[in-house]
Amino acid sequence: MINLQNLKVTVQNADIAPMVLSLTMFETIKGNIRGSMTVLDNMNFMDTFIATSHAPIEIHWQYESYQFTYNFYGDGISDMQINKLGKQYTIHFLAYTTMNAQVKRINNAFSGRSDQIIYDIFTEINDNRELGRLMIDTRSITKGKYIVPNIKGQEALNNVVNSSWDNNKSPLLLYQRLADEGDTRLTSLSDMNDTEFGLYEQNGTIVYKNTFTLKATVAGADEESDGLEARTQIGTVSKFVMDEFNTNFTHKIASGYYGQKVQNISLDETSSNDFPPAELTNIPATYYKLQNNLFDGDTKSVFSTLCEPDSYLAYNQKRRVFNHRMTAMDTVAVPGLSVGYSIETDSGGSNMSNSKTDTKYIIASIQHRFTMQDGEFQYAQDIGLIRDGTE
Amino acid sequence: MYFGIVKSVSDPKKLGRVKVKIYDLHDNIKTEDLPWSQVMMPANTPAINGTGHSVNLAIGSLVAGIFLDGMMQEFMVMGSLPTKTEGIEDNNVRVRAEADPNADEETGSYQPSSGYAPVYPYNNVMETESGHVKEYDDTPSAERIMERHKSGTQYEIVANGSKTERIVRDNYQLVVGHDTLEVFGDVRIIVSGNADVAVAGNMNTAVGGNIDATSTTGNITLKTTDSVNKKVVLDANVLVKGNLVVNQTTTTSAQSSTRSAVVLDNHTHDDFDSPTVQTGTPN
Repeated sequence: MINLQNLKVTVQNADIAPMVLSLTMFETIKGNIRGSMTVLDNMNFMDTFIATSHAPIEIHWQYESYQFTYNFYGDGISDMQINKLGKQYTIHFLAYTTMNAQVKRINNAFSGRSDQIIYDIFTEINDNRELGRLMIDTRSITKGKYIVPNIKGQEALNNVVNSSWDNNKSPLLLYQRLADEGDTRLTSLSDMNDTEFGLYEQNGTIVYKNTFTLKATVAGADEESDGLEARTQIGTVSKFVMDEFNTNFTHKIASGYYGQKVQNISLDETSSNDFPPAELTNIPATYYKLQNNLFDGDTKSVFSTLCEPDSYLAYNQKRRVFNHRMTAMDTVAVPGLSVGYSIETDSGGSNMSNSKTDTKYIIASIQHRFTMQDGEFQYAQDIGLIRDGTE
Repeated sequence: MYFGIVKSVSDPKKLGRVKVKIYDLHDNIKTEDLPWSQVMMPANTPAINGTGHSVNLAIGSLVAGIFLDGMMQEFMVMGSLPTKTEGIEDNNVRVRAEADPNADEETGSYQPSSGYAPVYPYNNVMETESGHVKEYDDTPSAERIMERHKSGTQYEIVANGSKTERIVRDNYQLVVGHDTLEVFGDVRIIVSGNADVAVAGNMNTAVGGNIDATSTTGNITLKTTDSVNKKVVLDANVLVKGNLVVNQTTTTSAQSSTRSAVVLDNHTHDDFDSPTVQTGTPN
């Protein structure tokens, strides 16, 4: 493993890095970054920490030539062990945008393309542009009007994101990358698939230009290698675990993961539209369609196409991409690697375990783990990989 | 179930849809941004091929309903709730069996008193925005039907079956076919102005008793416009209690083959003493 450098954990203007035993941050294409850290508190810092409900937490570290600074907000304490000398407990934290999206409610009318509506809602939730910025990687082709009925900002965002797709009929995802240091991104799955990770700097030198490959430790592959040396190489995976490959396949077929024969019932015109199957299977499904003229003029609801085949193409793509899930366990941290990129795997090397599972994946999640070891913080990543199991 | 206030009823598609501002969910939404909500009608409304009832919700009506979609964009109204809006009872005054709101209106001299005596909750009322009213009152011993135009023109059928009709302006009735009025009892017609009866054909009046025609300030005239060919016939003995003035010739009918008709204006008589001599004509 490669050690972390210059870890600073500032909670309400106090650096508590010396108290930190371990620190974990989790990023996923399904949402925002969150994390927790275990601290040994011999100075009764906790009483200060819990003085406010959402204490600002700034985490800064350096790894190789990369420096990161990330702002979080405290979200409570758990698992506290108390003895006469001090306390050991876990501090949970979450992103500024998560906190706002959970707490703030939206009651407003928005119109335009789905990505514009997402931007407008996001901007209304996050009034601090420094801590809450939205980067739009993919424009949607879905558009319309959305009356947000005084619901949580997160719920409003999810509603629009889940009903949006791009010109490839690929669904959109709203998420945060640790590498973006606080920015939130809106990207389609197809754009994620096309965004290959392979470029980072080390001491001012570009190390990789091609698609990055996560490689398994090949202990004993040759007489000169015991595998230990590989544990100091960036991107070396301790163990690949196939979490899922079309699990509950029958159930998924029955649920329409692979296509539906959609029947739309329009209540405002008392009509029925039968759509032919747009994908592999023709599982029948009946939906009640929103009125075409729900609003004045020709303005449609942003959800007006939600029951149509194009919508299910995108929706099913989002469901199917998790059919093939793999985790690269205890990986020697790759600086700059974040969710939403695509990479390749080399799980078996020259061994028999090499299979068609060694291919291109989208990084769906990363668990970043800083663990105190011999007075230094080792940086490891558990990387969640996804791709459509039918591909 | 959600509750809201109707903000617009001017559905551009004329489907009876309304815009509802739902409490809490639409507090900050302008009326022009609100969606059009369909209104669920009762099952006695076929709502097809132009049949059925109109939606009678008004701006300000408190309604209840559900959302048809998970994103809460399409609301469907399932009913309205009569309560009290800004201190004013929403429920109709007649439904609440309060005093007749039209009791002070002008009545005719012979107009029977109203049978209005509802008891809550027996009075079934439909009143529109302008003030048209329909009542089907099931109050025991005071059962009534009343239908009323906002002007005050109305009819009322009271508990014993008597009907009173009140028209505050002109009345006109057209019967393209035949018309029959059968009255077991008496008929009384009071006309404050003039009365005209125009009959294109014959007019037959069959009366079991007497016929009285009295004019208090004017003449009574019986005439035919064709005085040459038509006559006014008095087909009975005539009793003239006043003077009889004849402007033209008065002639009696011939009484036998030997007694010819007599013209009263110039007739003569035989001299009683000398049959060959005639008296002079009347003065």
